Amino acid sequence: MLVDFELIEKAKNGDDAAFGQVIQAYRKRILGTIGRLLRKPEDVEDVGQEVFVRLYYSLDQLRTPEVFEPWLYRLTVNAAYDYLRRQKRRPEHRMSDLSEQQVMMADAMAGGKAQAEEVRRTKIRETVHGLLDKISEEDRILLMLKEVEGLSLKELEAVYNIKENALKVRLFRARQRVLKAFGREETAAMKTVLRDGPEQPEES
Amino acid sequence: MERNQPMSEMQPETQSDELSTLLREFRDACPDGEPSINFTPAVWRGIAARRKSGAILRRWAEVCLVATAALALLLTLVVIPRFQNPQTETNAFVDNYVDVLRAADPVNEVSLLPGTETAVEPVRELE
Repeated sequence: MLVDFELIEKAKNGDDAAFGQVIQAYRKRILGTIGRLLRKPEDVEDVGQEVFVRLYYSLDQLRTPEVFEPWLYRLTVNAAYDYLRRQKRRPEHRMSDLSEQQVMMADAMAGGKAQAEEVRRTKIRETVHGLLDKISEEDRILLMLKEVEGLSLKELEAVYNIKENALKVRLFRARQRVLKAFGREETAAMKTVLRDGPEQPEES
Repeated sequence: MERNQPMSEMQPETQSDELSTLLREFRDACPDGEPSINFTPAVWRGIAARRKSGAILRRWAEVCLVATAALALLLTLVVIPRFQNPQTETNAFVDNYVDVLRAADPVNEVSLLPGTETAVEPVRELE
């Protein structure tokens, strides 16, 4: 927990100053999670703000401060779902071009360790997004929360409000599908990057 | 594991481990972003906007509730008693055509009309 239970209680009882402190404490983490769930950095803050607005109006339904974090993750996941649903209704705007452009920009950067590291990170992001495209939105978010955000099964149980065994089955199936895609040739280069670490720029 | 080993020959455990590594690397490749300076003020603006729209909705709900209560009161006190006591109604609504004719000309009352049987003389037998 990033804040005391007492602060959560105060916020729950309508103390706006306490709620402001909760925003301060959690905004970075929530924005990070949303940033990894969505692919459009320009929309991350909007979704993050929506999460905290929903939190403000639903905090009185929180039973105990102990379950605050799963509760916040649930709101985050729901806001991300809502965003993704809205995006589905809208036509895609040059998503692949955009990411390609980002890669090209990264590639075009001058030599140097930091730049090489940035290129590697971009490749990792592209690869993971490509792999996670092979599974449903729900499974993608679930897998992200477990494997990337590091939530335990107990926490996920509280977030999704479903039994641990059902979660395990869903996670296993999602992971199997991703693994299948991961085994294909196109990710071979990525695996080399992972094994070797960042490419060192040639010294001039 | 050999670096040039084909993917198909990879052990599943190794692949699974590599996937876990990749996902961990992904976490590092997408660090928590620093929120902009406007983030928190925008949250409060969103809260205020929702409160305002909630207040408007609540006001409309109250108006509808008062209107419904007034309508119910009107029905209870005025309309329903009128239906229950038709005498209070005007003749135009209660009387039928014959009643109206009778009222208009009580002297030349038509005896054969329904409701006027008492006025008809009994048929006498021929002597």
